[in-house]
Amino acid sequence: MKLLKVNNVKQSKKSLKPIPPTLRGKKRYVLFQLVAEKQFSELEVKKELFAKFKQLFGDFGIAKQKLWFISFNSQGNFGILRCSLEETENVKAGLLFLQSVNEVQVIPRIVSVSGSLKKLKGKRVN
Amino acid sequence: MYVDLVFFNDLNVLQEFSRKFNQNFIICKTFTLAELKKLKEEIKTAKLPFLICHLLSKTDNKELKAFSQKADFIAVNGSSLKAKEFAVSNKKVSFLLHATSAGKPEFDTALCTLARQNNVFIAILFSDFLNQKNFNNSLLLKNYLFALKLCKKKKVPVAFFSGASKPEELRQVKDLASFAVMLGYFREEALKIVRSTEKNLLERSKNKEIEISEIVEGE
Repeated sequence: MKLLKVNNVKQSKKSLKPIPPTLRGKKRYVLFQLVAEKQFSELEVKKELFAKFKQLFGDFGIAKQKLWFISFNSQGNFGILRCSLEETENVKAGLLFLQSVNEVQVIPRIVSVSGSLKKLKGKRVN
Repeated sequence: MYVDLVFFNDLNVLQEFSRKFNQNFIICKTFTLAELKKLKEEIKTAKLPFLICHLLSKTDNKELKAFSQKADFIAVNGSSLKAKEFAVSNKKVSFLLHATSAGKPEFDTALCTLARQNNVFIAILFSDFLNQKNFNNSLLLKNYLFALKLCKKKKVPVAFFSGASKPEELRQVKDLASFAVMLGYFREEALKIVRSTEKNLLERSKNKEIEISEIVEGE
């Protein structure tokens, strides 16, 4: 925490300076579907997904991908992942390696990729 | 339209996934002549746009000759170096499957040159990667990265398929373009390969028919 001197009294900084978009790094949201006979919960899918990605790409690979699990809808088994733009193709390929969730066989399918969540959520509803 | 190569012939399941994934299927199996005829009739009755590929059980010119006019495509399992050499040096063979394995990467520039000359497709099956365990997956990826580097350099025709032997192993073929990028292709190249596979295969089989008819006329 950076200490600022104001009127000779040290005060703590309340918030961080925002990172400019050029340094923040571009991201993509990947909408995927798990074709299966059963509906899954968000926790189950997240656990399985990260385990598979760790097996495939390792901790460093996931770090480079800046992978983050946004949400999962049990109705229709649709999920959204966030990743960095440069690693989008690797993330999409990694999703294809998912074979089962809680010992139930699944067929993963990439529905769409977008720069914003709003467009993807619209597609999921449709 | 996209096309996928599978190793099971449940037409109901394939029809359902053909609609879901918007892709055609090539059913690949070691058929007998009777089984091949029966499957062709079933596909014709159900009015499905599926194609049939015969997987050679051994590197035998007799079997190749017998099935090359009956099946739409011929595939060879590249489990040994001899099988790979047989496949790439024969114009009647359409696909070389399992070009490399998790063991020794028996794939070199000579095979690539012959494959290109005879227009033999190197088929990359995604199910090979799904069925590997632990460290073998890394070895298989390493070997395929090397094999595809050679294929790119020598401009060998390559095709990406799911290679599913059961419905759970099916994957949408257009998603396999991302897998091609992971294996070293640029995105545009990968998309081009995946989109134009069906067109290239059909052109190849058309040329094969013309060649056969020219041979017959010549006789």
